[in-house]
Amino acid sequence: MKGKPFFSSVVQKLVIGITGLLLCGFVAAHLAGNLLLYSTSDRYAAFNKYATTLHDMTLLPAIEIGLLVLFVVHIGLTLRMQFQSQKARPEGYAVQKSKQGRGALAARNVMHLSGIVVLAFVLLHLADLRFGLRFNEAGLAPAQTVLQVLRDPISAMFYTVGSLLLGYHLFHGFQSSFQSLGFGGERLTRIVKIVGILFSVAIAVGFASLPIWVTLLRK
Amino acid sequence: MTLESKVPSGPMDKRWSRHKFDLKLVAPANKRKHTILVVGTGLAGASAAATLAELGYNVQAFFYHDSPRRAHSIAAQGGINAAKNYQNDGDSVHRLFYDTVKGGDFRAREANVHRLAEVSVNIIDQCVAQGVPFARDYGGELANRSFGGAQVSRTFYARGQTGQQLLLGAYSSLMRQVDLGKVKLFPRREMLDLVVIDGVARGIVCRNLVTGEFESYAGDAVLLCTGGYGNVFYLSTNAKNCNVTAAWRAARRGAFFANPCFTQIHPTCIPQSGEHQSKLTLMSESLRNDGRVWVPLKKGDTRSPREIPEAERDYFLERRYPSFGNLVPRDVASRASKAVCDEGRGVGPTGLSVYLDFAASIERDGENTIRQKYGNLFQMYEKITDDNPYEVPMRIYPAVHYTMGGLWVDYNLESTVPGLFVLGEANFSDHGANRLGASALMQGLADGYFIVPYTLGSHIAGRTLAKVTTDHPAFADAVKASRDVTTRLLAVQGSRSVDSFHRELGMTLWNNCGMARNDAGLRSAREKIRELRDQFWSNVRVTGKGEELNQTLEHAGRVADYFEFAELLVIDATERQESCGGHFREEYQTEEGEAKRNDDKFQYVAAWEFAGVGEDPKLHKEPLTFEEVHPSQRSYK
Amino acid sequence: MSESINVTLKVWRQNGPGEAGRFETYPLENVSTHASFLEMLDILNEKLINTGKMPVAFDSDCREGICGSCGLMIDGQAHGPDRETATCQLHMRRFSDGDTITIEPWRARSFPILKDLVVDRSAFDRIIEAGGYNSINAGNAPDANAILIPKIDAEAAMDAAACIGCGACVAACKNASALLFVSAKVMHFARLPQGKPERETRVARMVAKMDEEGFGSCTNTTECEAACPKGISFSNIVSLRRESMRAQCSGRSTR
Repeated sequence: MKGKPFFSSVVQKLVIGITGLLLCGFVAAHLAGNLLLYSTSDRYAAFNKYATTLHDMTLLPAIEIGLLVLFVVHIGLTLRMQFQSQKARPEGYAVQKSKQGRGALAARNVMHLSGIVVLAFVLLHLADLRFGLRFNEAGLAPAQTVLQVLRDPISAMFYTVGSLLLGYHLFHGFQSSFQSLGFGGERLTRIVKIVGILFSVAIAVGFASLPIWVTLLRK
Repeated sequence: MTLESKVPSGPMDKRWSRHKFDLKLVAPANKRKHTILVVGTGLAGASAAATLAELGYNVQAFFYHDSPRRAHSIAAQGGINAAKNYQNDGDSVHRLFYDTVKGGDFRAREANVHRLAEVSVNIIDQCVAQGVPFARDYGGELANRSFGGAQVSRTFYARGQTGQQLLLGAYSSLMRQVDLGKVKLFPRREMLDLVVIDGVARGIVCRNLVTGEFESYAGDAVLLCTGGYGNVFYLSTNAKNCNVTAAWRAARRGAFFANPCFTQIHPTCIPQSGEHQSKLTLMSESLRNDGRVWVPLKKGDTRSPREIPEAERDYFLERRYPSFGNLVPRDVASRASKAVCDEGRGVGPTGLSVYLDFAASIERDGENTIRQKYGNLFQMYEKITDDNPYEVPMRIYPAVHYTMGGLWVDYNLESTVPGLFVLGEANFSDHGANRLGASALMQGLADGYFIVPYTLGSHIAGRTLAKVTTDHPAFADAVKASRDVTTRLLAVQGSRSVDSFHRELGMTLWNNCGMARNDAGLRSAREKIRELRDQFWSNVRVTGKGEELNQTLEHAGRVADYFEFAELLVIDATERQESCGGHFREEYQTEEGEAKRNDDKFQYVAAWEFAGVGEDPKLHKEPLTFEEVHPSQRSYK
Repeated sequence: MSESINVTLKVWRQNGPGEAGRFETYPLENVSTHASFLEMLDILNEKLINTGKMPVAFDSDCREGICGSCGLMIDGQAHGPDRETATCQLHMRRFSDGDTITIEPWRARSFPILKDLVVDRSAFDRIIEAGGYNSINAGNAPDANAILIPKIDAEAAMDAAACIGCGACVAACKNASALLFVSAKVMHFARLPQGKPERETRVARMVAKMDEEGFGSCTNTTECEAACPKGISFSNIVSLRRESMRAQCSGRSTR
């Protein structure tokens, strides 16, 4: 008897988990770079240097393609999974209530919603700062471009919300990825849970702090 | 017709091996030419179906549940006996045999019981290999506990869910054979008739419970593994759907029904809480290892149990049976509880319960130890009653639990209809007048894994079986007979529900043919049953149609059969003018109120031949001889 | 606490497979709080029969929480509000006078409704058929104590083996995933030495069968664990994923 091992739902979820964790790594590295903005001395020299070095990397296109693949696989397989799940219950319940206390808005239950908002945010973010589609003033240093984007109050609000929802997405996503990878055992589960909470809060606060900081102090 | 038990001769401990050698074999290439119909997928049915398929037979398995895993064997809590003597406490095949014959109050067939004790050890091996997660000690060896009526620790268990784990083991073996294409499953089918052609069982008629269609199946042998008839009492610890229909329809086709009056009333059940009660829940007998049974000394003492001082309590089992104490066999414990309640010393709102108190063992071993042993049972008790047994004593009362009687079978487990084999609780053979705790699981699996796979050969290889298909007119006749019953039930259109008839029938039996029986009561019960049966057929109300999933109709068919069967139960109880095991006739008791057998006149199996509804059935006697265990007054003092 | 209450029932009625269903509302008076939930439905059915109507069809058998036959979605929760409680063990003392109780069948494509609250769960049997067993014939087993099993392993296997196959995990899961059921069976065997010979094929085949039956995909929400009347732990799912990976890497997952 031959199964379909590489496309089983378990493997599918495993791949979603692995891509999710790799994206977590990217997000963490990205945040580390962003935090250089807080070093304001010498017209944000630290951040500008970091950004320029990054942009000049020969491997950059390869990394960008890699990231794109991660996103596409993560989202694509999730959509497939969502589609399968919807097919698995064509007729829903008139009433449905969780037995785990917190209800329908718990992070684990709104992964697709938080995911969609994060995706929209990422697209806007790429448009702004990768392709410069909204603000395109020539000759600005990278840090000044960022500040220009974040000084726009609507952008700032959107960046804040996007960052917070990214955190919410990771609140479930981080530990769920480890579960999909088969990391178990009572102690390990607890550690992963705590690390996941700390990580998601750090990501949310870290990213959201920038637009807030710019709005309040760097007008 | 004389009853031939086909018990082999020779020394008791050699009989089964000799018989196995003497039995005809079916060549492997021939087995696949034979189809075996197995009805019921509890321990006996699932194990038999799986094992016969392993041997190469084509098996078709029928059950009224949605899955074979749901049969009521699953609810057995306490454990399964086996003469492994892992505890080095003096157990042996002979001792298990001895205990079972004595526990059955000398109304079982010795050779069958010895065989049961012999294969008991293989059952445990088989189950462990299947992956049954029995309880173990820290060294990794299997753990044992002692169980009611035994003085050695020979009971293997998986928490309080032994039956579940054993059934899931048998079910997994069954599903393996489904996977291999050797077993075909027929879920949600209820057997409604046995098809007998040229005097041999060759098929069955089922109702498809989803579509309501009547379906015929032909085969070379029929195995009935359909459990007991405890639900004739309405309230019992049996599952709601347990019934006598398959066995009874076989009886109507010529299979003799043996010892129907041997019913087991289990002492530790949760008492009835009200009119709405649909079934009773058993609390495992293992609780009696640590719980002490008592009632107040004074009549009508309404103080809460914790306020009653030691001196004003009557630990009546310990008082009456000092050597076995709370661990006396079920029939003895049940009668003792009934006696104190009859004296007006029962407790609880109805006065129909006694205390099972864990205070002493909690004080001795600590709450944690007790929680580890019985945690799930205590939790179950609290869910049902809303009382916390760690703080207040449990209240328990006897309830119908198991039926030792069943279709008569010979040593090969074959009934009086050739080709019809009966396994597990549905047959009568091994427990006599009273079953010991943890022996039912043993018997069901022994029959299925290790006995019928051999004895079936005597039928398959020993008789010339012409090819039969469902086109044979006997099938059409059986379908018509089954359909007629359904049509009649739907046509009555009376004003009383099936359930209300069932309750009244059950109450009649419980009051007159329950824990204590007497001639006058039994005679009035027979009259009452006949009256009720007439009312049933003229006033029952079954809504809906026959051609659909119709649970009321299913229930109605079962109750209709109970009405016929209940009369036989009462006749058997009237006829047996002695007390033995679970059958206690008030007229026949010792001065101390213990059961008094009459071996001169009643040392036989009463096998009843159906003679028509309302007609007196014909009694056939199979005399019992005891060569190894000599009948004595059972004493647990 | 009052001894009897009045409730209003909103019950899903459906005549047969594939037919359109609807909710019907039934008031029920003076229900004893000591009655179980199913006994309350018995009372309703008795009333319906006495007025010539079709009673509500629902599966139930042992009524002590072990056979796995019963299973109702009660006010949106599988087996009702209590933790580790099957529908048959739920009692009316859990409800208050005047409550409206919504009762629905398990809903999943793999559990088609047969009638009213009765569903067909044979998909579970087919999953077990795909390897949920040890390939051992009766008669050739070694002595039961020949292989010692550490108590902790036997207990862990028992924890998983306690599953009653009721389907509440599927019913409660927002994805209608059956992974808790499958993982309980896989891990029951994986934790015992007797289950090792077929360890890799078992997990691969059972997962493949589960997918084929059309159950949804687990997203680690752990709702199944909360709904399980036997408290089967979600950690079985995590362990199954490890088993699954192990099987893939071993190259022994097909036979």
